[in-house]
Amino acid sequence: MKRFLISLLAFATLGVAWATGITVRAVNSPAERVFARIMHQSGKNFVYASDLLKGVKVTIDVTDADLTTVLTQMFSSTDIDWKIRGNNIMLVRRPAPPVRMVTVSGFVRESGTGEALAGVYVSDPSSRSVTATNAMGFYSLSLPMKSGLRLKATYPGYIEALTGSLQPKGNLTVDIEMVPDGKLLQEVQVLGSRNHTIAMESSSIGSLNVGTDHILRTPVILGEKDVIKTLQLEPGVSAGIEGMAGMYVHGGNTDENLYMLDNIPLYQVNHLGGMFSAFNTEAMRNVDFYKSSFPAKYDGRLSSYIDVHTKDGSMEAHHGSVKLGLTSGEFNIDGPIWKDHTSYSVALRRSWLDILSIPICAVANKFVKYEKYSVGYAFSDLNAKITHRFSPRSRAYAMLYYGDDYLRITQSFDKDKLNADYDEEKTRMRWGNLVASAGWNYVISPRIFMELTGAYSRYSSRLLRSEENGNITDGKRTTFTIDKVISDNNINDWIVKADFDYRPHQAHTINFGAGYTRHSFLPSRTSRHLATETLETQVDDRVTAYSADEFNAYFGGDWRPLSQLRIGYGLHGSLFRIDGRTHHGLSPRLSARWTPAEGWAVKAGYSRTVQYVHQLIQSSISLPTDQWVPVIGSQKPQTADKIAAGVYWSDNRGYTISVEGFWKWMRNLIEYADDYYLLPPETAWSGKMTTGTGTAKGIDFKISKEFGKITGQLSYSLLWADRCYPGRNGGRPFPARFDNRHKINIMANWRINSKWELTAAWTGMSGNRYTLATQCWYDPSLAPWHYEMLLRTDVNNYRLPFYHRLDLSCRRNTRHGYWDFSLYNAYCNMNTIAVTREYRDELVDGQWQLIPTFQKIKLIPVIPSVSYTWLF
Amino acid sequence: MAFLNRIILSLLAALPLVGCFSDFEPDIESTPVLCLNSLITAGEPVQVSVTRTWRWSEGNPDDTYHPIDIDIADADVSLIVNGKFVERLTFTQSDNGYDPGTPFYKLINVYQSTYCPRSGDTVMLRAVSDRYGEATAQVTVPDPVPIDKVDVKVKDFSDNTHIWQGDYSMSLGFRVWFTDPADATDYYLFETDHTESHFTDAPDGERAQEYIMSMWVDYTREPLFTEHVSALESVFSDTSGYTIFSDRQISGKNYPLNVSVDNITYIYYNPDDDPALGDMAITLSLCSISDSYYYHVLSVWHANDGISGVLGGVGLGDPVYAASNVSTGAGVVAAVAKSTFKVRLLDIIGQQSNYVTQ
Repeated sequence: MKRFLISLLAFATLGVAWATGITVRAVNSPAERVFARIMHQSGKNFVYASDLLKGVKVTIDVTDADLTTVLTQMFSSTDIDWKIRGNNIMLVRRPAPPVRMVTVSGFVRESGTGEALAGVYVSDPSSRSVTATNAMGFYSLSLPMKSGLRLKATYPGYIEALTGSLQPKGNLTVDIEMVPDGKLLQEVQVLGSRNHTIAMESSSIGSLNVGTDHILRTPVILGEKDVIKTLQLEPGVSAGIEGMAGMYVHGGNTDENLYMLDNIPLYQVNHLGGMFSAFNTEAMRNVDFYKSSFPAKYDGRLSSYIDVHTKDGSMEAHHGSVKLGLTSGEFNIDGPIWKDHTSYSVALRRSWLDILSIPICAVANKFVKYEKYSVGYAFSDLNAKITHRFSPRSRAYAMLYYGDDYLRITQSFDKDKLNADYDEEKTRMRWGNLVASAGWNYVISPRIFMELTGAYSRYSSRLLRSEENGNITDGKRTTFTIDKVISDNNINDWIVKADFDYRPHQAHTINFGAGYTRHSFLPSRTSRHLATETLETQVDDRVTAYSADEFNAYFGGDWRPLSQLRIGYGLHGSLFRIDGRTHHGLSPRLSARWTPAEGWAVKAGYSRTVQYVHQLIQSSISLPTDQWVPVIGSQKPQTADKIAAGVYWSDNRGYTISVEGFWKWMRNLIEYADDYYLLPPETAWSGKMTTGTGTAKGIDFKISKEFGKITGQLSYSLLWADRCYPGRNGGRPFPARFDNRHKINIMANWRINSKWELTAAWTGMSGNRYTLATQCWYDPSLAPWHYEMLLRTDVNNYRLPFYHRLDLSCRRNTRHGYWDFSLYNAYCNMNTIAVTREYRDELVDGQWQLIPTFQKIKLIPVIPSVSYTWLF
Repeated sequence: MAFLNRIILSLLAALPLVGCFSDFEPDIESTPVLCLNSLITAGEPVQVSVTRTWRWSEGNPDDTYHPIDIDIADADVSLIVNGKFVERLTFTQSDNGYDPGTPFYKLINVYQSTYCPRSGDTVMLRAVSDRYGEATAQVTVPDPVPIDKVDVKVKDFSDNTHIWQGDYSMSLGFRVWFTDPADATDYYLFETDHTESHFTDAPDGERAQEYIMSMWVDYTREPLFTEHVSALESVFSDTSGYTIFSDRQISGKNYPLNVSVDNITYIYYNPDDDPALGDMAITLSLCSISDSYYYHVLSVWHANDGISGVLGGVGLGDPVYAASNVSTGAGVVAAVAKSTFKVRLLDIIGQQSNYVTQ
């Protein structure tokens, strides 16, 4: 009975309590304070995570209301959800309602010309979403749909662009125009740098974007501005021979760099034996350079990728320039054909060394009675491009590049006499590139961009030598011998490909594509024609021409799963079919960036590269005799595996510091074997080669300041590079020729005011490696002529002395253009490029004697140059 | 100078024009080794020069005033023929092939055998020096390949006789026929020479004489002599003087070598019918040479005139080394067997002008 009464009382109390309403009044009060009053009146406990109510304030006004009503009203204006479980009121954060996303896409172009800008970083500061424009200037960003969106675009050499407030109600197309800093008033500072962004934001290691502005400010020999010579200042890039436009990246060979003109391979990239590159700066927009981690799109070379983007031409007005330099002249013009729809761009460059040689030869011939000698060399190149915009989403272009070198040497004896023996030698060499390409870009949807390209790329060289000797009697040729040799060497590529950019998510960008290249190789075919008054013969050699089919496909992406983490990934697959054999290559790519703290980035990456064609190089200068050949027979494609890691720091004053380390393993490298020249010339070139391995490792350190009145960079690289071939150096490993252990570059640019600008660049590096034989042996006198017999020594056994020089340039802007004054090797330190064995005259015991001695060959003293560029 | 040298120098001149040279001594250690040089002829004693290598800056063994001494006089030199030890060579002096009294004549130190190798012998030379270590080399003495016949074509014959009994000029085209043995790879050297001028004081005081005043041998008509020259080198390089070739294009075949001897001026004066005169001849020699001989001469051509050698010579490529078959890499032990054919000039003249030879 007692137990029943107690139960009844408790039930009645509970029922009263439940039935009793809750009265609470609060205005913008801390939630916890209101909870106390509800708990007191309801007897319920609130259960929640400690940080849930941080800063949460509630407003409520209820009288005698039930608990459900109270809770509903109290949390209506918050993101807190509630649930009654027994005697507890559980509080959780209400799931955010799905945010509708919109895609904002468009093109970034230069203001005034409409030139597409590649590699511009476009970002939404509010959501911290960021993307980069592709080669055609296209970008696409997925953003939460909200009003007041503003996009920011940053690019080196251009003022940062900020769009107006956007009010998206669906997908948006927003084209952005950027103003070059040169067109701004002096007090406006450029606060953007793509390389700073690449270093801090992207997962890419060892990448660089070089604008023409940077190239034009780099002091170079004879004032011939050159992208390759600008890249030579980067850490990890060795220049090769003094004054040449060589590039040996991270211990690789010169043929391991893929040079592209609008993504089309170019095989011969030098003029005048490598002194100037084939790229006319005035025809370029900018250059992408990759040396450590490579996008999946690129494969085919082991060491680096250089993609030169050419100018489209202005859609709005005609512009042009004429440049007169010491060694060459340039003429460039671009403008609209149909305003805002079709543009053209033409850049023409020609050297005038041949013209300069005419008076020199004339003077020389005046002092030689019976011998006439004339020599002439010229190079020229032409870039032409037409671009047409069908609509904001559709654009097509056609591009032509033609580069040509021509050497002429004539030597004659007594040809002009009526009665004499005569002898005449003529040599004509012509070599160069032709690239023709056409492409169509189409924005399939705001998230998918497509580019279709068809191209033809040709490198060819022709050497012609004729020698004629005989007798002239009474003006008539009586006896004669004519020996005429023609040698042709060429490579032809027909290329079709399709590339796609897909932005499925604001944190994810995907690139994919496929291509096919039909290669034709003709490595040095020679015909010889011999004729006398009684004999005529024609001999053609048995050089084999090769055709090869190359297919490739790639898939890669850039994914940011966390705000601090960015991952670049990709896979490039290729097939190379030649002579009934099919080689294949799979090149995985992976890189990651982690941002441990504001202003810091840590990166690591791995890349594999595969190379199917290579250049047979006999020397360290670029010669037309250097032939491109494919892998044939039992050869395997060259491959390289590279790991790299780096730490980056930057601040908002424009300074970026990076330290990158790398280790590269190369296989199936191909090199001329020892004594290859003793094999019969008709031996297939593959029989003269030896296949081996190489390693390279090192550290690249760089401090750069990319914006402000004073800009510049200081870099240091440490490198070890070696090779090992069974057929060279007795199979023992040896250092690579350009194993430049230490390399330091300092470059500073000071924009004094709108008229004057000064640039200084200092280079110092460990000397190149060199094979120096010191021991001689006695000539057995078996050959018709005497020769110094050298005892074989280890390959690259000697390091040339430390190399250093300072280059200065000064630019003076005028009303209609600018003067460019430069001093190459300003303090005239002539650097050693080689060592020879010579004799010097010396007075010994009263008699002049020839004393054998080692001599350093030192080249290039101070070279002043001046050029004027007229802009119109 | 090779044509390629001119091109390279033209390019270098087009570079910034000036360079400079400075003497120095590279800080590379190098150790001398033994060098063996020998040209073995079937039927003759073996002579081998044993020297040491020297550092380039040390001096010149051929210097007129201060030659450095590179001869090794105390070496132990053994002759091994067909795998069997034959004898220990003795150190002696020999002339260098020039006539005594001529500026180039000098005595050279050699080690000489008493044994005379035969064609087909495999000869091994081994030299040991306490100071410079050991050097060995092996060569097989080739069989001579006979000249089957020589076709002679006379061009531009001219009889200019006025004062002398004979004063003739002509050009001769030769087709030198031989048959290459089919059994193995053979290497050859072709040489052209003429018999030495002859002067006799005749009893009446007049000086009888017979000599060739000028003669120019044109080897350019024979493609085998340039078979080692690549197409590009034929554009740039000089091949004059090199007449080595292999049988890789003519193996086992009967083949005529085309050689032209131009601008021959032959003077003949024999008032007293000196029987020693009237035998002036052009000698055509086909030498079978060892592979070591062939590759050595070939490498010297490449070093002097080939693209690789020229580029290496100016520091733009690796050096081209003269080929050696000695274990130390220094010296050449070569072998030769010679076949000759004489073309008597008075016979030619007789055919051309009905001149009756004496």
